[in-house]
Amino acid sequence: MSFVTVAGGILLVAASSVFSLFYRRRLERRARAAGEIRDFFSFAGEQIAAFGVPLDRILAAAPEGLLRECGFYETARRDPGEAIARAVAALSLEREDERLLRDFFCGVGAGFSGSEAKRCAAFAAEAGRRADRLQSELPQRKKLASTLSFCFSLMAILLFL
Amino acid sequence: MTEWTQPNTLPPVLDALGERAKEAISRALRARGVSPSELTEVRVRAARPLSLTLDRQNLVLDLAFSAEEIGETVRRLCRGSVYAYEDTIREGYLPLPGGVRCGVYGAAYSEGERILSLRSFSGLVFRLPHRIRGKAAFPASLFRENRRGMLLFSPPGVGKTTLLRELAELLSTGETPLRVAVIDSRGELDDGTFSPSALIDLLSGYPRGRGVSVAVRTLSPDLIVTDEIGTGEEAESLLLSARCGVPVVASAHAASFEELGRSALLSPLLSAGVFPDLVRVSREPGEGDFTFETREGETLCRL
Repeated sequence: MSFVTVAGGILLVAASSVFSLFYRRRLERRARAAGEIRDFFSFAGEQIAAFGVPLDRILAAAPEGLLRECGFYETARRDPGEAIARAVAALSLEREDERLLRDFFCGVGAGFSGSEAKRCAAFAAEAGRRADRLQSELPQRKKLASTLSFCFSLMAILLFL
Repeated sequence: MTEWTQPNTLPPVLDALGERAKEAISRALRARGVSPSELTEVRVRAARPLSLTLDRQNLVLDLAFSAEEIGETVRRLCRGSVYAYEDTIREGYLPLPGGVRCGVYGAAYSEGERILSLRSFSGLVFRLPHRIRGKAAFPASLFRENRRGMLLFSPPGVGKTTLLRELAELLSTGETPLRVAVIDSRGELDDGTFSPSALIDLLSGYPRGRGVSVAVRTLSPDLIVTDEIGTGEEAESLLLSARCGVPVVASAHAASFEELGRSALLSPLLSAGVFPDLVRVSREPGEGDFTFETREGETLCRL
């Protein structure tokens, strides 16, 4: 077995392992972001129902986390569409999360506090179901990513040999 | 003619109404050769033409808003948070910066006399504030002479708020300025143009009754200036102020002295002597000059 074959095999194993690591981290971030979206909807609902806080101040005071780190809340104060695009790119949000955020910002703030709080609660419930599902599926997805990566490495090594 | 000036409040209103309305209003003003500063009202009604008021002359434009567009405009005016303004919307107005009065109405869900919420918006009335110079000299000198409560009254749209604003500034400036507490419950008196040297304590957004009691108890004013008296609680708070020796200058809606005396809200205040000076304010449409009349109907002054 030549040195080049061994080095190539090692490189492929390393690459697929790194890919697997990143992909698993991405899955974790996506699940965490889904939970944060639910928390944001709940937070907004509480602030509206209890204090009638305007949306820009809710966004300024929203909890710390991945959404804040990627600049979502700050951008949403002036342009919710841009903020959602930014969050989708930075956190690899799924279409369903993106739709939830778009629908929320499309209609938020148009009614009185009672209806707005109910609306936020409905969004929080839907986001919560998604977050729970992503969280429960996370170990399987991570396992699948590791398995696929391992299989790919094995296949590559066998091909080289 | 009175010199009317308008603070720069029209552009934000036009921005809120959107490009279509902005163009239509500008076009209509240009066609009539009218300066934007002469515009006093902009009215938007769902599915009906937008109209302008130029010193009580109405002008109908060829442009209509749908109920949805009015809803969107309200949302923009509330900076995306209508619920944050629901208390004032229930009272029929939105407080806007610069003393712009925005009346708002629609289809309400109510319970008895209480409005729970509005399921849709169907109209907006923007009343743009103006400043007049030197036209409140008569009520100002009357107050300086008597140092007692004064009620300025007229039918709506004559310019009472404009006069009160000018009066507050005249009394709180000059060689012998007075300490004036201005209770601006609806953000209409303060258009951001009070002189920096005016001795005005501005209580903005306070319910009128609460504002008067805060001013009497903590600010030691020479007089209190407040806009239209509309509820029993407000009337009671003015009684409190009168008992504490602080004169009140206020305004009210009434067309005549007889109508004023018949008002269930105002007659207790009049009989308690809260307003020894009653001044009827009038102004002919298209004519900038104010006429002030006393209780006896004698024309006191025309400015």
